[in-house]
Amino acid sequence: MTAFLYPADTKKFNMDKQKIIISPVTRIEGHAKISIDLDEYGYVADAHFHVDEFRGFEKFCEGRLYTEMPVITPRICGICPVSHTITSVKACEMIQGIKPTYTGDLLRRLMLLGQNVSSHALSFFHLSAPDMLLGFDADPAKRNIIGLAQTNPDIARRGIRLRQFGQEISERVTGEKIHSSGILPGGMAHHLTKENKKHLLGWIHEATETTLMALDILKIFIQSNKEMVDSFATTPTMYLGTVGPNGEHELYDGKLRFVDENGNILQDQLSPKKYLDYIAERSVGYSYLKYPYYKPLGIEKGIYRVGPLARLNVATKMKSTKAQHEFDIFKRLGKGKPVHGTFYFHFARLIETLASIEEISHVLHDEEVTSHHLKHNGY
Amino acid sequence: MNKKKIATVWLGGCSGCHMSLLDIDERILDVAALADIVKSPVVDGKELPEVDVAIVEGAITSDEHYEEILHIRKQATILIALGDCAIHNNVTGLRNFFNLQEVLDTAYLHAPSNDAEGVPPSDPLLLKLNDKVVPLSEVVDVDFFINGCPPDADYIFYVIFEYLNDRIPVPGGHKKIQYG
Repeated sequence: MTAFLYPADTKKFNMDKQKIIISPVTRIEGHAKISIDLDEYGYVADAHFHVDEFRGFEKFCEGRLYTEMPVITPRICGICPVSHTITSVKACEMIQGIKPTYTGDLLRRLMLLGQNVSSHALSFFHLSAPDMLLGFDADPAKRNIIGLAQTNPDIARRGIRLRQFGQEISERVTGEKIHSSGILPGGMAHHLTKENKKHLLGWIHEATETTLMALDILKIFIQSNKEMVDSFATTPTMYLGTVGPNGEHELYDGKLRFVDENGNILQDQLSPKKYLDYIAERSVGYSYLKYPYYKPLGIEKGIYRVGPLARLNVATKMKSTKAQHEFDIFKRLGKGKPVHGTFYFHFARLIETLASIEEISHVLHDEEVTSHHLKHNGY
Repeated sequence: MNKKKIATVWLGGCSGCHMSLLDIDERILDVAALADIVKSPVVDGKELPEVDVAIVEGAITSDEHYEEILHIRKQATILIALGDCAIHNNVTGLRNFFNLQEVLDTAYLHAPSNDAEGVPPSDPLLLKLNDKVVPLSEVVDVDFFINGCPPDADYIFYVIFEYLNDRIPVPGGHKKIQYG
């Protein structure tokens, strides 16, 4: 990171006249390039983040059977396929006018929480921890999960296993770790066996310990890099996230809440069906990614962030005790306002991981989780 | 014995194949004991050196992917097509039923969420999409196809492990062999 302080070291980068191009951007969940325009003195004049991938779902989903969507849309992203499947399945159910069974709903929640754990573990341990534990300026050939396994084998192993736990939930519930076909309109295709329930419960202690360890690693890093952490990408924005009926953090079935940069709630308990009234998108020439914004305020003032930091910034409270304890620490950072520092995404992500693990345990302890009453038929 | 080199590349796909590759879990350390992972979305290598094994997820959707797969073929002794998009286009190829311009216009101009002031992506730095998506084998010779959407993690591990031990894997061989 410090390598990008200006004036730029022109020998180090692929220089095209007065442009530094970083391509591809690695250790992110996606395809991207970064370009930095320099002025004649070598100072930064402008910078762009180019998302460099296009698939065409907007077009090729048109005209197909709506019941195909739970199969096609997870292929948008293999890291968060469950979100796309569940979203499509919920849309199918709205069309059919049906609801999932209680057990079907529980198992879907379990799937989503499992994905949340595995995706967050990937982000923290595989993609980000090498920067924190090996250093931003460590040898690029070693600055990865394998390098981490050489210097900190226990941490790397635990991180790999935390991701495995999340993936195993999907496997134990549907038989597949990625792009599961078991989530259906009306409920679920497969029941959770008592044996699989027991197996998953056997992971809870280790997963909790690993997440608490990650929180320790992060807090130590923040303590020793306070200046960087508090000055790193702190632009105030709005936030959008889902919350439960009492403003509690909710991943699976929440309604939308928007807060402004000072934390004032602008919209609450919005039905996702109304998203077009509140969200618009701008296409831009430099990226295949579009820029969504809060429609009533326009693109400049209405720019909002989503993801773990946003969800904690909009939430009033967490649903479980360990996560609530960390959430209180998080909220104190903002002194009553949202936490804008982008680095704190890491903190928010680990708090969410903890919350998901606690909720997984809660769901698994529900007697109905192993019931065979899986699906209402809407056809 | 010289340590082997391995690369994993993500072209037009959803990264689900790479996630399945990570689903080999701790066995990634067994792979790392036999080979250096010199380029991959999860490590920082930018250039592709000569490698013993290159594993490629996704179909070829653009000028950059086309150049990249030719380069990979030149650099890699063994080239593995990982997953259905790399093998036969799969979901990535669904846009082939439409004219490319129509697909782009729907996404960037006519989607119901788009505002009126947007412009379609045009920066010369961006990859330039080809009219039609093609699988790897239409451009280069492929040494092994690991099918699935995504392929099974055990299958991926089996194929990599066989090549790294100078053996030639067989399709579906992971079901016949138990390691450890």
